[in-house]
Amino acid sequence: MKNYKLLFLILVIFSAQSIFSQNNYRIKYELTYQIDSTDANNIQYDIMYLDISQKNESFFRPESVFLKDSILQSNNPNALFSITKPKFRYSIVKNSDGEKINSFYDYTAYKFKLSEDVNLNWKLDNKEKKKILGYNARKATVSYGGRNYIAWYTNEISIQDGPYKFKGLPGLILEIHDDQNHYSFKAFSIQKLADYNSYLITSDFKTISKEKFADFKKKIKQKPSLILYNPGIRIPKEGMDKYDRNHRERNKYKNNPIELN
Amino acid sequence: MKHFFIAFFIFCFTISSFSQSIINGKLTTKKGNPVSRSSITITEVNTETILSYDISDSKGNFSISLKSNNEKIQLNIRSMGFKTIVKIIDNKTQKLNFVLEEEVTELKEVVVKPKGITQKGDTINYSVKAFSKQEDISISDVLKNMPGIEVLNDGKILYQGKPINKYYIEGLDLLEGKYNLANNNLPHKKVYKVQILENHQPIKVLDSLVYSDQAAINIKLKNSYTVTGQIELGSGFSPLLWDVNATPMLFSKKRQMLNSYQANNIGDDVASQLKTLTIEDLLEKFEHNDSKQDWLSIQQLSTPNFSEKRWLDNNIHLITLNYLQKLKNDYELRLNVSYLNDYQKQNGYTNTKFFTANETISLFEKKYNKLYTNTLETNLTLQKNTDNKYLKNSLKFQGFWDSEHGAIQQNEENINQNLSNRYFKLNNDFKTLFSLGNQIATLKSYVGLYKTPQSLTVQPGQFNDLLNNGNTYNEVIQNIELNTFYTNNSLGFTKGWKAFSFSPKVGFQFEVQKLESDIQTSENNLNGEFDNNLDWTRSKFYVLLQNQYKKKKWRIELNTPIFFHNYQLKDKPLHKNQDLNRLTFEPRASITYDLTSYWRLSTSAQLSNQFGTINQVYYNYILQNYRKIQRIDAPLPETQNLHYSASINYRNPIESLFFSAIYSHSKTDNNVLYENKILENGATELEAIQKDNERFSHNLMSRISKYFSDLKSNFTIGVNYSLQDFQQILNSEITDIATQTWRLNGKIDTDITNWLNTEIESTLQFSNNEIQKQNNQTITQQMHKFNVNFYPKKNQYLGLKTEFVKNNLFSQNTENFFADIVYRYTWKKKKIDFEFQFNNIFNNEEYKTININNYSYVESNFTLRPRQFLFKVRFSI
Repeated sequence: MKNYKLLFLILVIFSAQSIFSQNNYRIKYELTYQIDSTDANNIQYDIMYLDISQKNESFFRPESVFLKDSILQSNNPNALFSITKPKFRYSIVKNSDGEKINSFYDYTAYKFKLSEDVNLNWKLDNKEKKKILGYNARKATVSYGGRNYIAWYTNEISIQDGPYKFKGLPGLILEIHDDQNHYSFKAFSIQKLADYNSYLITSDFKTISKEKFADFKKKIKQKPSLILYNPGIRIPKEGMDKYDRNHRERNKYKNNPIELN
Repeated sequence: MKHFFIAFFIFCFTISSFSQSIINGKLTTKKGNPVSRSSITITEVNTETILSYDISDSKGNFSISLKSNNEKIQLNIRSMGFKTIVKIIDNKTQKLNFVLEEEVTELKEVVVKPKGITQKGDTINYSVKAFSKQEDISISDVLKNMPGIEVLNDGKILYQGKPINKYYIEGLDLLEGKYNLANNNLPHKKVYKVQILENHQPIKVLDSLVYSDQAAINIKLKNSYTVTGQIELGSGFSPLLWDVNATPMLFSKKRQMLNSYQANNIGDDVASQLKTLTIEDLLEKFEHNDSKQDWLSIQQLSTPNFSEKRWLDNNIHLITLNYLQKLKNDYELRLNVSYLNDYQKQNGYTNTKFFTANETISLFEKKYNKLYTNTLETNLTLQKNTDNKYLKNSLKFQGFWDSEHGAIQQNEENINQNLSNRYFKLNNDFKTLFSLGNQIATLKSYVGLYKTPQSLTVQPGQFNDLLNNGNTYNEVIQNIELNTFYTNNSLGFTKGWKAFSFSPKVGFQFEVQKLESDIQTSENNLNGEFDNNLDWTRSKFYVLLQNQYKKKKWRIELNTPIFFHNYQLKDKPLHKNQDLNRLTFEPRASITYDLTSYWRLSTSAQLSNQFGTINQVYYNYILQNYRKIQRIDAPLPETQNLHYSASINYRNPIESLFFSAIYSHSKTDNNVLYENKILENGATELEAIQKDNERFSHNLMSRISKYFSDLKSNFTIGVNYSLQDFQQILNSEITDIATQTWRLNGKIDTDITNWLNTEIESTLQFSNNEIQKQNNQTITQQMHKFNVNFYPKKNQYLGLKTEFVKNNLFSQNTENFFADIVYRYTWKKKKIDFEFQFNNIFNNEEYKTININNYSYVESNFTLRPRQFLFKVRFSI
């Protein structure tokens, strides 16, 4: 598959007059988020990648997920030992399945795919403008997942995409944050991407409904050690209890997900 | 397909007479292919004020509705890879199709440094002063305040959500995985700063080759040296109980030390703390086969199969010294010394029934055993870990000056056993990593010298017929000394290619052993009749190739090792010798396939060969314990084992249903059959004869569990079954023996609230032994547990543990009911832990169990620790 893509890429490069004579791009966003809605001092950071293919298909995921997925598919078995948990578990794929947005959640032992129609009712603001990374950006607002967002997009980049599940503005979203500043994405880098590779084996992911996924998340919040259950391995009760207590304690301040409903 | 249709207004025209127009159309390339995901905006003419817009769908269609009074409007079409189209049109409902012209779009590339995140690969420095709060005491408290660092309840440190891989103090790794000890006890006032080393690869040679996304922490100290530590004190009754643990430490830039003194008589076997083994260590230990081996023993009392804290009557003292010194040229020298002294008492009796083809022999023994342990272990390690060199050499010495004393009462007769089971070991372990072309090769070399001088004295003398012409006598002494030289050397590396990885390895082992033993009696009537003088030489050359293939849902492993074995055995005085050369191929294949994300299937097959060790061939009698004397005048045992297994696994986290079943089967071909001669008094003589025979075993394990969200409970049911079928010679008759065991287990865990959980578990076990198609009595064992854990406050814990055990023995049933209470309170401010234990509340004094061996049932009675109170305090110095 990877070879096929490479071959494809080479073909594309050598047939300059092809309709796909575009480049792949990677836009890096800095995500700052408040993990605990009651503690404004507890601000966390992460780097997110938005990789856009020449066909306009896009992948959005944390840098750590990208590293993990790429190491997992590399030929260096030793590097597998250094893999640990990223803070966010998702990869969001847009424009590969009609208008559906596919989110891939990787809980290491379990992999789930959510397929949704996301309707964003953007309101454009023609007055406010600012420069971001040398591009002229314009303002738009939208409500999604129980939060009101302010976005800055540029029509100088005619990619109808953006971080997370946001898309559908007449240009690329360079910045977006909610009105309480709990989640804020800011682009800090736009670069060509030589090798666009998802490193995602989508067939490993089980498609489930949003309700089932919510049910799963509720269960692991109630009993975090459920994720460790494996009938082949016995973990003593003390170990499970410790895991439950540690995670419940950590979950206590993780009370501010990006999608509130 | 849903239309992406969105419209709005920027300027609020309050005029009611808007005209509404709809503009739709289709975008295609010159070749007629649709152009999707283009933005089509309607702006006021020559401005950037967007009146309305749409994005073309996968067929290239768009549709824009517009409410505006402008007569003319501007239509803009932008798409990556196509020329932008700008056209001024009339404001009226119309259909407009466009053909887009291809054009390479080049975005200007920009990179700025994000503010919040420090550059990767750098060392991040945190000033301790800036992050410490008033109530903080240890460095662990301060670490919790530092952004990006988390300290979990069990002391594990996470950086950016991932566990750290090393905890250095002044760049030195004294404690390895046990960094808790330093982290909780090192006062933050003594620390100048904390450094985070991102993407830290502990083995520097691998730095550029093997990527690490884990971080390490380095603690920089203010002063050139720091002294600190932790103390735990406990006492109770009855009899007088004590539990002491004092751990002082010293840290400096060039020299670090951590010492520990631990002593108790509460049944806590602290000797197990000395073992901090990684999987690699365990595998090496298995390969070198260099752990202490006892040739002789006193008659043991089998220990109960539950927590040793209920029955271990000990008096243990453990001293460990760990010292690390930095040397010139990046060398580090580490010295670990530990001394262990323990005195254990065991009290009870056993009732043994031996089954032979035609009769049953019973034996009743009352036992009182005293076990003395006196062990010294030293390990001197020299290590160099730089960018182009990794080298580690450990020189170890272990000395066991152990002895045991056993008193047995058997049919009004007293038997005394005195055992000196000493063991000494000196070995050197060398490991280095270096470049071999593009690969990193690993070279290992191990050299060891072992000495096993042991002796057993039994009063009165035993085996009268064999050792004293049928007359009784006072004393028999068995002496034995085994000297061993052993070396193992190997060279290996790993190469990856696509989805494959190959790990070839070559090596050789060489072993020389000399066994000398003799039996003395009080009558001095034996003139070397029972001497062994056995010379043993073993060589093994090996070429291993491990292949792994991993792709998508498949993982296939194939190991193809080839061994050449040479054995030379010689007992000159007895004119016995044997030579053996064997070339063996021992392949192993395993396949794992993920059917869906919930189902996993795997299977494996393995062919392996084993050859006997020196304690499986010797030509003259050795008195192993007072009622077992054996010689094995037989060819070197050769066994070939064929093992298959298959398993099925189901894990559905959404329904929270988990299931697994594993079946394994093995067939073993042996060339030697053992003959047990059971004498009237229950004594056994073992001899081996050459006869091909087979052993079959079947095992089935299955388990199912489900979590019920509404009940906050997890239910588990497990079933195990095993069957073994083999032959043995009992009193000159070849006997078929089959043993089978059923085990049923059920468990319910309930989290009533976050601060209260309960655990109920029941186990039933049925064991049965069949000799020559004759069924013996089935043994039933039952175990039921009920535990309650309260966490009323974060700093308090109350646990109630109860256990009910019921065994059916030969004639009667026994029942035991145990209950314990633990209460723990942490005085957070001073970081002092208080613990109160009330153990064995119902004061159970003894415990009876039954064991099934190949040809006997053993019923044991073991004296337990009585009802006891214990109070403990734990604090830092």
